[in-house]
Amino acid sequence: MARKQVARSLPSDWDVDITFAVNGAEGIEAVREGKVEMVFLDLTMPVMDGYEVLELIKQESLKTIVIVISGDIQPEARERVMKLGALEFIKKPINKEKLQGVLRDYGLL
Amino acid sequence: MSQPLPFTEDQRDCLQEISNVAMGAAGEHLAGFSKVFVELSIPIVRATKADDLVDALVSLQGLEAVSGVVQPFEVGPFSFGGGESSTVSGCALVAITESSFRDLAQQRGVGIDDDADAQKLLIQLADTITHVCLPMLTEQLGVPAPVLPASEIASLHVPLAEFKVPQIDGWSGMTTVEINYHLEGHPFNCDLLLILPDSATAALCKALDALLA
Repeated sequence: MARKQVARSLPSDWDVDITFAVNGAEGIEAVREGKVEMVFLDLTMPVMDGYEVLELIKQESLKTIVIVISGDIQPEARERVMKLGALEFIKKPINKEKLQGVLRDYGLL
Repeated sequence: MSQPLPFTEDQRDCLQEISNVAMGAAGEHLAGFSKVFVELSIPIVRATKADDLVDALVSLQGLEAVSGVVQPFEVGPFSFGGGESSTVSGCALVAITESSFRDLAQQRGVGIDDDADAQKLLIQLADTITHVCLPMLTEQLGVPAPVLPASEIASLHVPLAEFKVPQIDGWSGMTTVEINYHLEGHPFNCDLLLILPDSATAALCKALDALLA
């Protein structure tokens, strides 16, 4: 449901291909293959969580933009992901206007 | 022992996701209460029998005594087509082991040798979590904030096999959502168990379908 909610919150006319990963391990593999320009990343995931994904992206200098979307809204959670290189942190439940505003602000639309 | 879930996979996924968001909101408050970063787990949805409640407290399995608080709740009304509406009653259980109890007491700078002090800390912990988690669940379901009577001590310093939740006496089957909180770098582990009787399943399924639509 979380993945569908993100997809439904994106601009309908945005010219992008969207793929979904069921966990962090699947996601990082897609990033390693160079197929991913942007990641909308949850923090609480099975197999590999979002923090581990961010650490690997940083360690391996993988070229991708990461926007964290998470229900983990502790202030320190936001600090940690920003230090790990995330572009932005968006709290769940997802607000469509907030998400699209972030994409516009960073010139991603 | 788990039973087959009375949900479709989409409904289970939806319940897991809204529980994830609600637990995250509660986790922020727990972090403030304990002054430690909180590590969140993925919520686990199970169907089980009331007699098997103890088995649902997966993270508490072991030799330590456990203590817990139960927060009854009423949620709704859920309004469906044709003028049909219903409310859902359940309870939220917050349970911890002895080592977690001592760890939390140390973080809070309080003693728990006296039963009254121990009960006070336990209630504070439970209310910190449930009074954020439950309203966040209802907000996502699009129903009014839950009715929350006073929370009560379920059991204090008892072996897990003797752990009792009187509110579920008479229930046969139930749905549970288990959410675990862990304080980073600490032994503290806390289980939040959302418990709904089988009688609530139909209304819950409709509410989840409305979210999925």
